[in-house]
Amino acid sequence: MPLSVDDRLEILELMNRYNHCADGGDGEGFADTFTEDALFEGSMSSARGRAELVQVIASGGGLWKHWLNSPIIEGDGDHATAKVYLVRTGLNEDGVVDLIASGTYHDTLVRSDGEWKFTHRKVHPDQ
Amino acid sequence: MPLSVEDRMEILALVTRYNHAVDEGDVDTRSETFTEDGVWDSDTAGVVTSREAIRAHAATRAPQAHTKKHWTNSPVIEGDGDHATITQYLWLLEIVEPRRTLMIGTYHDTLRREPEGWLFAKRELRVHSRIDY
Repeated sequence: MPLSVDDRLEILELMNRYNHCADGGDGEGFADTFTEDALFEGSMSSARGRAELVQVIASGGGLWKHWLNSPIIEGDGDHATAKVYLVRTGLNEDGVVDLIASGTYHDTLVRSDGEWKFTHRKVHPDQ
Repeated sequence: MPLSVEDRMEILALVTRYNHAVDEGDVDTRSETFTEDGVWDSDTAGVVTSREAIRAHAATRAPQAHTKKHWTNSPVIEGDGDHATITQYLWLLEIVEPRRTLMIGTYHDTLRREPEGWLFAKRELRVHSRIDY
């Protein structure tokens, strides 16, 4: 069964919740966007499983914001993949708000107990 | 018949597919977002008419792949039946050092529903400001 509009909106909201949790230092909320055994491969750190996912966020964040654009979501039934652009803003070396990094997320998602979650999220940094 | 929510999602997905294709230098996918008689009218490339001509134009730009990201925002979609328009902002970002804004513009697009889905019949890109690059 093709993804419905509801599925697409839920997946977009999952991506947004990830941003708020990552930027707000909410490790538990961040881990909630993933399945229990999910793999996260960030530009600076990786984590597999809930305990590690919670720690990824608890150990950093605060000044950054993640911004997304141009989501491509494909899938069928309870499985989906997504690609979405990312820029991260924050303070640069001169203490001025600036673009700190950019890249593309490559995501694999599954609907588990009625909720879409990431099973794998990998950042492909632009450089 | 007014545009449905599905129509609006498909039109947004078309824009997104274009953004990734142009940024990755995917000439086929970029040209296939246009109808066979599609028109690409931009302040940077002039007027290019037909999917084949757009494909040829896209091929000349492919060597610049993976140096920019097309970041689109504030879409306004209007339409009825098999015809639609979408207006949105473009922020063209250089993604290699010095990682800067290259251009700000607005897309004014006209779309048509074809058997394969919504496609661009005409894309107009008006540039508001840009640096030399």
